[in-house]
Amino acid sequence: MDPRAIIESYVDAVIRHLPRKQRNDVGFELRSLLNEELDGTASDAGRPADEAMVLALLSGFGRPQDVADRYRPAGFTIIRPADAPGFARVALLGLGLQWALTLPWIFADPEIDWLSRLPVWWLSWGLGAFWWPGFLVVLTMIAAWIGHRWPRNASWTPPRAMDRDHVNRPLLALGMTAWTAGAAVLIALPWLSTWAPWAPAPVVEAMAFDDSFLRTKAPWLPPVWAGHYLFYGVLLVQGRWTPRMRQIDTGFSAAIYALLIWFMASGPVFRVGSTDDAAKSILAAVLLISLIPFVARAIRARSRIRPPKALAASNGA
Amino acid sequence: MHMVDPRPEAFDKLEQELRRGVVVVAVLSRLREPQYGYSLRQALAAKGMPIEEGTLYPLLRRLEGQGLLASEWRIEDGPPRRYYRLSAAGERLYRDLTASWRDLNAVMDGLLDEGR
Repeated sequence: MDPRAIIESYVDAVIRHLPRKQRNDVGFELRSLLNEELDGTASDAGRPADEAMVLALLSGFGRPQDVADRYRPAGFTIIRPADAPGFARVALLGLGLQWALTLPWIFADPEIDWLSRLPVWWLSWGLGAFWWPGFLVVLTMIAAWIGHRWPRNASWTPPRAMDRDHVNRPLLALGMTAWTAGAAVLIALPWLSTWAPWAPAPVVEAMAFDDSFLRTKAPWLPPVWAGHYLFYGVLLVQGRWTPRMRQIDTGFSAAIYALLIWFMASGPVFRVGSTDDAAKSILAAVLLISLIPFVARAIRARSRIRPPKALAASNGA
Repeated sequence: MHMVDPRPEAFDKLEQELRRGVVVVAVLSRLREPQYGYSLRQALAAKGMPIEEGTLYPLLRRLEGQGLLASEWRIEDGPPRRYYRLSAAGERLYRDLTASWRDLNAVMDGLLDEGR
């Protein structure tokens, strides 16, 4: 093969990856330089340029895409190396979650023929779930472009909530007030018709607790609530969390969660079925939401900086 | 167990990084006089600073894009060639980089002499 034709083909492959307005200029110069390089190599070797010679030259020059990258000015990073593992985790988690939710649902659908279920799922929810990584990439691109266009030059400042043991007293007092009101309403609910005689009869009926619940389960809740409430009163006075206080708080919370799960799992809470379903859904949501601080605390505890193993071992020895 | 000595690979990589840091200064140093890509590569190689063509030629275009080099096409005794030389901004940058390089070199000499 003609060495010049190989150079021509190589230059074409390089400029194909360049911006259109740059292509001709770079191509013309690159071809001229490569031809001169080849002439120089042939002259050093004392023989005319051949195919092997030009291929060796171009191989040293690099793959056309890589060479084109070198011609381009440095672009901006879409996903920074430090963010890449987190990005991959969130993208895969979202994808897996959608598949985990939709796959059993489609397999449980009796209207779809058994053999068709997997193809139907893949062509609908399976492939459709890829909207999530795509959505994340677009968001990241927008964020990266904004960061590139208006770089943040402000120096680092410590976050406000650095002292995690500090108790925000006004917020805690507000929470305790809301809690008192909520607990008072729930405890007084069995006597709704007495303290709210104006309430319509269907409302009173809908809000009536199940007799068995009131007799056997409900009495367990007020003492635990009262204990937790008193604990928060002490915390309000002290103004700081201690490891022991956190343990006591976790104990009270665990007791309340256990009671709520018991209420949800064993028999009705309200006499009317629709109220009971709604109340249990709300209880489930409350349970999930109240777990958030515990999960956050567990993650923080995991990411806390600890002495390296070797150091810990030598201290323990 | 047979242990593979990791030094040669690490050395190549680190030496390449070391050289990458000075390539721009080396190129700027030769462009006070107009040069085209091939002649510049030869001039650098003759002074003991061989730079791969795949690195050098794109670098020239990038430096020109940054306003540090100026270029023009010339037809002399051969095919048309693009000649590069330092622009005014390139001259200033070259002076600053040269001063930085000399300072750094002195610091490094001090550090390496102490390490002997």
